[in-house]
Amino acid sequence: MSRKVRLTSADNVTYEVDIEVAEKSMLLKNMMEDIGDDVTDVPVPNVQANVLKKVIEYCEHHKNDPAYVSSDEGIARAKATEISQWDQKFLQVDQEMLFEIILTANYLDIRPLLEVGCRTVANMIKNKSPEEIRKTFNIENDFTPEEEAQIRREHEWAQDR
Amino acid sequence: MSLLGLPNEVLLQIYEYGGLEILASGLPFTCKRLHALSFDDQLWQGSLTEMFHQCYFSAERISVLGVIPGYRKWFYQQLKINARVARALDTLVYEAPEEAEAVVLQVVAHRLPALVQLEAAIKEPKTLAHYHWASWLHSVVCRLEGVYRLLELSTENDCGNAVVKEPIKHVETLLFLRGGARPYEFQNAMTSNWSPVIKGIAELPDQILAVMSEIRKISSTLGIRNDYFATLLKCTLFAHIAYDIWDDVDATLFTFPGVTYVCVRREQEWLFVDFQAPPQSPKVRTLQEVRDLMAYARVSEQDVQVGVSFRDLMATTYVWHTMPSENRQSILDLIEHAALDVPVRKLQMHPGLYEAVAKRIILKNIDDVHLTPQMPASRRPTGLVFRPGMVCQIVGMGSSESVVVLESNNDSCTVLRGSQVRTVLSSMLVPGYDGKIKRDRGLVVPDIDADLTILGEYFLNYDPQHQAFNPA
Repeated sequence: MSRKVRLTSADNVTYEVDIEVAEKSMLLKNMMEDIGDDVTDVPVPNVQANVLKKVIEYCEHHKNDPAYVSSDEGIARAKATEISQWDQKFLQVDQEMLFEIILTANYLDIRPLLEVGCRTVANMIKNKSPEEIRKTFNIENDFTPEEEAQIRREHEWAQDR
Repeated sequence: MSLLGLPNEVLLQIYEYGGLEILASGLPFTCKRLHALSFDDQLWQGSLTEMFHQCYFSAERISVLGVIPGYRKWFYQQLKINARVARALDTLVYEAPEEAEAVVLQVVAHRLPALVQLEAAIKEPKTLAHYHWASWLHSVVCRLEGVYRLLELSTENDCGNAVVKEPIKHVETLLFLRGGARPYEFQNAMTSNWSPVIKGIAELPDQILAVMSEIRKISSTLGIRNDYFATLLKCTLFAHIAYDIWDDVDATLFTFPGVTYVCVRREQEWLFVDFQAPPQSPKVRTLQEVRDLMAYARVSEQDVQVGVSFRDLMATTYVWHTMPSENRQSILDLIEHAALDVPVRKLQMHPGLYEAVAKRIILKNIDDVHLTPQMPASRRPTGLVFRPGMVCQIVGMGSSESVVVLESNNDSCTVLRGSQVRTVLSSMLVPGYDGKIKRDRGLVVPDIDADLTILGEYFLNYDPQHQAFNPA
């Protein structure tokens, strides 16, 4: 039987998971290694319960995946592959949750989740004009008219599609 | 939480995963923060180089132009391609990628001097366009495979020598002297020692250009790739120039089947330059390295030639042996007529060198692994192709379907079969490796001796009745 650890969110909700699931997070893995084998309670103070639950769901599903290949090789590989159907469905959430998941993946150092999250956002941006992107992600245009005109001139080739 | 609530490191990753498609389109123009992030050096370099290596240098390299409309347009603008040509090129990109590539290269060959000047004028990477420009130039320069390719393109368009020589100078200088700007390519500190020689190549006399032009005609007549001849001639010229520059140099050619080194001795040191490596990354090896490689490749003593002429040099290559005999004769006639058989000057080979390299080479006979009973005499090893970092033992030369190649790269090897082989061979023997080779990685073994074991197993499956191999 697999060893269990309890992860406690910022809002004091505790989730009990197999250690293999927790160790998908390099941050938690290193922390547990540093503290010792007998650790059973791990606080995750920067993550809300609803987000932590989603992240655990991801880790549960991918707990038997091969070890992550880091650095450029990993990025190249990630670019070359499609997002799996399960991951696509998993990330079909509202924008706020999507960014929270990405932020948590970055904080907990869960590289595969961070990758798939970033790629999902990148896919949402592709083939969109600046105005469409602003609207999609609620970004305020903080360029002055002069700055915008200047940028348009500099990058006319890129904008004029 | 919104997109801008993410830290910069994550936003950069989004840029990275989106690649040029979002880097060169809308995202940088949405707000100041995303605009500023889009100037990240690593981001551009990574995106561009990866894209080029995945697309531009692959079988679908030209598809890069179709991937990003804005990028393509920028490229056309930089090259001052007018709307009519651009439209035609757009059509080609989608319908006939190879022809489109040829058109692009033609245009680039014409525009290169102007582009090089522009690149030189941009000293600091202050603008977004700089990254595009520098990367395009870098890729274009790498793609152009040196003197012969430019000459070929320029001659086709009736450019004079003056026009031809200018890009030669720039391209060669860029290719060989700016090693630091080529993250994916072979770097060798020793290459810088050859700068005077490279500069010498850039100042080739008119007669050499005329000779190369003649070579192009020959290859066109016979349907043979021009770069095959040009590389051979380039080796010869290299030896000439090295000798002209350094008084204390003995320069000669040093060949065995499948590989040609220009061998130069300077100040008691022998250096070997392999010109069958990609021209943008010449391999320079020491005597000891060559000796080791030859031993590893089991090159026999009689396979080594020293100080051969252009004509002889051709005869050592695979292309020569596989072309119909009437074509061979035609080429010899043309060489005779065009006085192309340029002998290498100063053929004095240091007596100790040949002895040191050749005498110690022992062809490890394949009998050592007890293959003879299963191998018909006609199927004995008949050729050996070599390229730095790769050893190929061609066994059982017959129809292309009955050739086995053991490719060994460091500590692993692969068995290639059938129709793959010709593609592999042509890529090894002719520069301009096109990256189209699909290798069967099904059989990987840990060391070179194990190759022979696999080969033994392979030959056990040889079916003499059907003159074919039945792979396990």
